[in-house]
Amino acid sequence: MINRRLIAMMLRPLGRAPGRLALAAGVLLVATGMDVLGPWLIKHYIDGYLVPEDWRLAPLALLAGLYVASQLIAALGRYLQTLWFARIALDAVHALRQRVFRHVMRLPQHVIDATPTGEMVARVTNDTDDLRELYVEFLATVLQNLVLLVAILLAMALMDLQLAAIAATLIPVAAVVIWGYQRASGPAAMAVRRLRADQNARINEAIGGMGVLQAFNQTERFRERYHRLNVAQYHARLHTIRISGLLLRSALDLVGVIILAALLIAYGLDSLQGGAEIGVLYAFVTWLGRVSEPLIEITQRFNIFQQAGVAGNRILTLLDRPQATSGDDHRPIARADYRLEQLVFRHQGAAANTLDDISLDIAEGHFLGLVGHTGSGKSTLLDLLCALQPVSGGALLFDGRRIETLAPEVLNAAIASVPQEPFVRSTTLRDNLLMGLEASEASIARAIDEAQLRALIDRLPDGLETPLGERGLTLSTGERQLLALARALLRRPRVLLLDEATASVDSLTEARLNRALSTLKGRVTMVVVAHRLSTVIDADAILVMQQGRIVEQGSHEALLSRPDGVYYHLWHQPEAP
Amino acid sequence: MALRQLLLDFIKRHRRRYLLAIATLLGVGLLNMALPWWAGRIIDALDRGALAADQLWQRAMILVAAALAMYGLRYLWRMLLFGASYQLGINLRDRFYAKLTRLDPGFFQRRRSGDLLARSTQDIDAVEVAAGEGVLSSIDGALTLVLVLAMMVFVIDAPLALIALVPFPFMAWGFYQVARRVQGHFGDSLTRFSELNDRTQEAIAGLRLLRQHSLLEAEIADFDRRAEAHARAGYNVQRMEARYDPVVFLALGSAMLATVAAGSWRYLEGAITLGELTSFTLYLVQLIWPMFALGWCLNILQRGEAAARRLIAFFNERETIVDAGERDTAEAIDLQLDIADFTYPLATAAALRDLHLRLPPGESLGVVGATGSGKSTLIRLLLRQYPLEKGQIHLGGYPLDDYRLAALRGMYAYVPQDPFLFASSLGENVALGRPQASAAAIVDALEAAAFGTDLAQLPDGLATRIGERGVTLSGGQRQRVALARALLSEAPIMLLDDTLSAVDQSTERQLLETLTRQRGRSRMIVSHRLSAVQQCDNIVVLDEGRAVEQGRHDALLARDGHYARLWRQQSGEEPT
Repeated sequence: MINRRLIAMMLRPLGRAPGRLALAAGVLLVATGMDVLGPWLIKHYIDGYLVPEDWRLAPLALLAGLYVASQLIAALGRYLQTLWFARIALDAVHALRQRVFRHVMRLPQHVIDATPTGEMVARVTNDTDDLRELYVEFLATVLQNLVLLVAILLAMALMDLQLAAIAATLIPVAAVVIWGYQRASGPAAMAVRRLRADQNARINEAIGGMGVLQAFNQTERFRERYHRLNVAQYHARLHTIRISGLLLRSALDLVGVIILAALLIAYGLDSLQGGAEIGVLYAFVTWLGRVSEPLIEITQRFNIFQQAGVAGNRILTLLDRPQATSGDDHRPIARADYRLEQLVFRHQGAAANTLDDISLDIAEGHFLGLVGHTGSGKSTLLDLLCALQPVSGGALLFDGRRIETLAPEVLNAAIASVPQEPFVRSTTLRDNLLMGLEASEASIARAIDEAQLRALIDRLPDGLETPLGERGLTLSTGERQLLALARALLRRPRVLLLDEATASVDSLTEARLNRALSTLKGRVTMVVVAHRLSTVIDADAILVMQQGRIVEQGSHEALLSRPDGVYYHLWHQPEAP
Repeated sequence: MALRQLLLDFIKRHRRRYLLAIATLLGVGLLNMALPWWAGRIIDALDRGALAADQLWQRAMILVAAALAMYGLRYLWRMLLFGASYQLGINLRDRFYAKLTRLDPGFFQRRRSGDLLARSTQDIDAVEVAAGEGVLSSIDGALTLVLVLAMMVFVIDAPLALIALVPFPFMAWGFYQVARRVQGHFGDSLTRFSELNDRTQEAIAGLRLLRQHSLLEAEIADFDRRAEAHARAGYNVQRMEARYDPVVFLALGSAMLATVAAGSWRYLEGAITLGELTSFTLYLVQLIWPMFALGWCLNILQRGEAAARRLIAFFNERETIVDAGERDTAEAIDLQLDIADFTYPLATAAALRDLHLRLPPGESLGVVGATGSGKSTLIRLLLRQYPLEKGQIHLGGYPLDDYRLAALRGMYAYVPQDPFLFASSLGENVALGRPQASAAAIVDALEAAAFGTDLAQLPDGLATRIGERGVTLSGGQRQRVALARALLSEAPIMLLDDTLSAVDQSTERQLLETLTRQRGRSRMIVSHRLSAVQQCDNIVVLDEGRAVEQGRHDALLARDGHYARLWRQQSGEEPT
């Protein structure tokens, strides 16, 4: 799970500030040294001065001064190194998070479409947050405690090699305990997290779907199910408590006392032969009391390692996905016309072509209707026409140039599209209309009128300044479609792509919209996907699509004159009984 | 106060468990005191050279035995105390869910879902923590403090203790100050994180929109700003947390210095031995925890209190729908609606006025009208989603309120306008009202709902997971699944709220055929497309909450009124 690439990714941002890292590490070493010096000084005092009752002032003052200085330096050093390491860690994660977000924003649209939004968001925020915890905990806690552990053992060895050897048995024993804890707690913690996610999902669906549950009389059944989930999570959590109760702090403390007993015995047997200094025991006991804490700290951080390993690998996989390419031809659009030559489109990893062998000319100012069953490739064709998806084969020319060579800014200025389920940002209605554009009040008002959005805005207390979205007003699908239409019209586009853009609008409003759109005829190139044939009766040409191919094309009248044609069949479908 | 209300009640019911936990904690505390004291005794005996090898072994083994006993007791209290607090978690979660099931749609509309979710998770967690860690830190902290002080003062040496303990109140004060600031910055960091999360969510969900408006770079710059703010907030938390170390060092270091100085004096006076001095320093270290626990416990209880207040407010949320009826069955599935006036809570204008309608058993009633004319409201009133004060709806001759809510709901098969699918398999979603339905029956229902072709394209058929971690269905597909759900249910009244709006013409025809085959069930079909209600036994046209016309399709056309005008409008764009 922890592999070379992961480590390289984690270390890369650290390498950017080697000076700061070295400084922090230096301070850490000094602070730990001072920390460990304390008990040594006291031992020196007990054996050298207190027991022999040597009360010369100068050396005593020196000792006291040394002690105070060492504790002050240790305190200050600890604080500073934690601060510096935290800064390094947070900067590293900040850099990584920016990198991941940039990458996501530049992924091909089909990758975004195929991934649930929540998952993608989790990559950018939650997974990087797991890594943040790893950085912070590792640099601030684990490193610090490891150094302290080593320093204590070193000091012990310097003072009394035999006793230090006994104390050092703590390390392998602790390693076994930690290993056991690790083995047991990893899966247990995972189970708790999984059940927790289930609980959240259940509450979420209860909040969103309570009306349905009530209407279908299922509240009791779902309540019972949630209760069972709660009980399962209770047992899972109790299991983690059992594991940590058996293997974590209590176990390490137990080991500590056993080693204390061993030290007493070893010292005692030694002193029976005479010659051991009592101060040594004092120092060892003090140090030993401080050894189990770092071990516990380190053990508790292991879960973070595991979690961060998983998160890091997910981020790596994401960063491996190639970004979308975009053209850099910035010359303005002369003619808003399209030419499609044996165009083929296949979704990434799909078995069949979504669009197959499409050849077509759309002249500037033409109105093209697209009809066909769900899944016939109409919406995909619109995505290609605004360069949201790349062509897989053949050619797609816009203004006589291959569309993938054109710069996005140039395309976006010329083409506007209105999807079936338009997206609304959590900002004001005005910002939602403008979308970064600068426009005069008059042109905003005109777009609103044309898109039949006036009635809605007049109803709102704050008019155009009303906040929309999660924390603001929720618009119905029909209202969102009108908003998207206004957004598109405001840009005075050369090409307008409509994807069943008025499906959820009531018939009166729809009729008015169609009148407004018909004034654009001849001036704006329009491609309209419709599930009601009536919407495209007036089109210059209608394409009938089936399974990614064009099966018929022509004007409404021309298509109706073919009694064996698909369009004819669609039009004359038997009346509902 | 709110926290006490939630906790005391629970603790009272689990009195024995809590008492046992406290007794165990006391045992641990006593052993914890005994260990350093015993170690000190051994050291003294060694110092005096008064210990033979076998005695040494014996005494060391007592030390180990005490440690073993402590190990067992520690395990026990953890299980007891945390077990109890997690039990409280189950209770609160169950209660939360049960409350949700009794609330009306109006409530869910008023409340943001994220806020409710947060209450069910963070707030219950906070109360749980108060019942576990909160009780632990207050009781164990106090126990340790009392025991350590008692050992220092009574067993070792009172003057030494008085001098050595001077820095500890400062340590407690320092801890409290640091904890308070950490808390503030931590809250800030959480807010920043959730802002970052929301914005990222929006950027990714709306990436098409951003791309088409050349806003990618602007969005990235905005993200950088928010990420920066989050990093800064995180740094502030770390900066505050880093202050714990100096507090411990300074307080403990000065206490050590005082101990050694005062200890030397007492040693020379002959009041204490070197072993006792060693024990004393071990006790000093043990005092860190009570000092920390004090601040920690205050913090936990504060948070628990705020959370408990929010939870209790939620538990006391008014339930507008009263389930006081006693009737279990209807004698006839005959609906009679007489609505004088219905106004939504907080609305100014009436949604329905002066409306009199009948839906006889097995017949179909079409309801048409423009958006906002009150069509859906009619269905909501039938479902008793809102209380109807001025007017009465009768089912089989009795008011709806006379029926038990569950019995009434059992009579409807409802297809909402914006259908909600649960994050589970397709089959489970369809079988929502009839969990025991066979796979064949489910497939039949799906086919009748014109979902057959879609079903064939799903990777795992009925077992395909839909929603969050599964296949995303389009609006039209969701409506058809919801229709299948209603078809599978055997309820005698079908309520369709604009179910045929997002389907194409041929599917619409197929679905209308299916509905005609449902003879024997009463059907109310709400639609803004007249083609969906054309075949109904009776059609009512709503305009601003009033029934402006009523009758069969032909009769309404002949009247040449509202309906006929709508019909011409829609058939102008629609071939008939």
